[in-house]
Amino acid sequence: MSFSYLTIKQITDGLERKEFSCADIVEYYLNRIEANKDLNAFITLLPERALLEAKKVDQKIQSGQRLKKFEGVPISVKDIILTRGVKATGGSRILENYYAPYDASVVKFLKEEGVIILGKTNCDEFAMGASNENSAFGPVKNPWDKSRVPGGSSGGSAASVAADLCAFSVGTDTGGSIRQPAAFCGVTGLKPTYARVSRHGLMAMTSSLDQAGPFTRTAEEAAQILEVIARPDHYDATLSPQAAEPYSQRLNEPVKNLTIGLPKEYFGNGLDQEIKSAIQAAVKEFKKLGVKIKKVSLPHTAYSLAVYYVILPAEVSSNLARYDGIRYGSPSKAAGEGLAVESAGLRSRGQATGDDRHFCFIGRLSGRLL
Amino acid sequence: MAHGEYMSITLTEVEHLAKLARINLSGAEKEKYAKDLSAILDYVKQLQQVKSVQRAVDRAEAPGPSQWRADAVIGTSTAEQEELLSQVPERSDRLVKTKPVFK
Repeated sequence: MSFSYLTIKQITDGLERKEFSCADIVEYYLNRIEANKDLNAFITLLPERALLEAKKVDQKIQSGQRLKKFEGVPISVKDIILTRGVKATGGSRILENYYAPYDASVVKFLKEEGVIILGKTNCDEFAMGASNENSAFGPVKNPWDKSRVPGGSSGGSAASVAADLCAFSVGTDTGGSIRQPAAFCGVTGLKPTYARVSRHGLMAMTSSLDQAGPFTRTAEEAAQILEVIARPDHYDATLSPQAAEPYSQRLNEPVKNLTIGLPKEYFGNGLDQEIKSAIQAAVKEFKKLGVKIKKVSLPHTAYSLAVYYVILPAEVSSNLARYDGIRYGSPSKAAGEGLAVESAGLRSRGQATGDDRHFCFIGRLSGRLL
Repeated sequence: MAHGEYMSITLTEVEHLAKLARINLSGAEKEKYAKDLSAILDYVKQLQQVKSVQRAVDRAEAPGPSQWRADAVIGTSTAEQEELLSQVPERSDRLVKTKPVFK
């Protein structure tokens, strides 16, 4: 049978019905990864470990035990997210030999449901970038057209799902780092609302905006994953005390009584005609389904990038000060002149001015002048 | 910051900021940063046009209190300590070695 572009449910059903073994499916993805090496989607691969875990799942199936929600499902994880005992570079030379001493909470929750991690995906250095060209381990290519970027910063995660190198991936989003590469690579990406998913074990960039979320091929899978990663966690004090909803169970509810707001400011200058048409087509489709469409106004939209430019550099400058090469990481790569921020690829979206050191500068400036 | 205009960033300020950020800049880089940083600050300056209205945040719309852990020492095993210390680039037995802060 063809393994191409299987959903989570197709994998778990196939395993339980013994249509294929877990080793088969892991080998399929490992071969895909090998054949698509030129995409540069991964920084670290874990083939032996993945096959070993697959064999354990196969033994479990043979002995007739029931599988957990994602048991035997091979996934990839952005290198910004810690996985115990595995190298976590965050796309930076400063951490090129750093081994994570613990699992990020999102990883812990997914492991509890039995996922198999195939490897860590490439990303812009410390998640700062929007094209994946700012990784110390080279750029990631867009699987649909290798002359194009996959978007970023979670470009490796998006590419790994688009090129069928894993069943799903977990990335992080601060100012678009899941949503934008998902769009560039034609997959489903979800940035959960802040306070929904624990940030414990994510390399912090802009702490008041960072969130982890899934890259999938369907909305249904995004819902299934969000249910798992949105668990309570006392390691993140900003988490909402409100329990997450059973999203996947509500997927097929009628949308008739929903209202969608269209902020008029989002349809101004800079909107590509092709994207505008796609949105309009979607609006038409929603109308047919009985959804109410309401024109709304978000008058502060014009200032959002300027606000981002105040928040981001200030938090980045403080968060990246920890890469000083004293407790971990490479002191030579970090310092030269004493502080890691110097070599960190501090570049940002939109107004990027093309040099790495601006943000550490701007951080000081925003503290001093604003 | 006080009322009025943002100052364009001067070379002296760039040098001061570079010192705070602990980075060395060449003469050409200083020029470039003075120009670029001024441009960025000019862009951010548009925020001053926003008339912000102070209003009390409604309790209902507040995100709710942060969830604190108990302020208790959990402790680590010797193995865990060794694992963390194994990441340290320079160590002296069970201590982290670093350059002196004061001369």
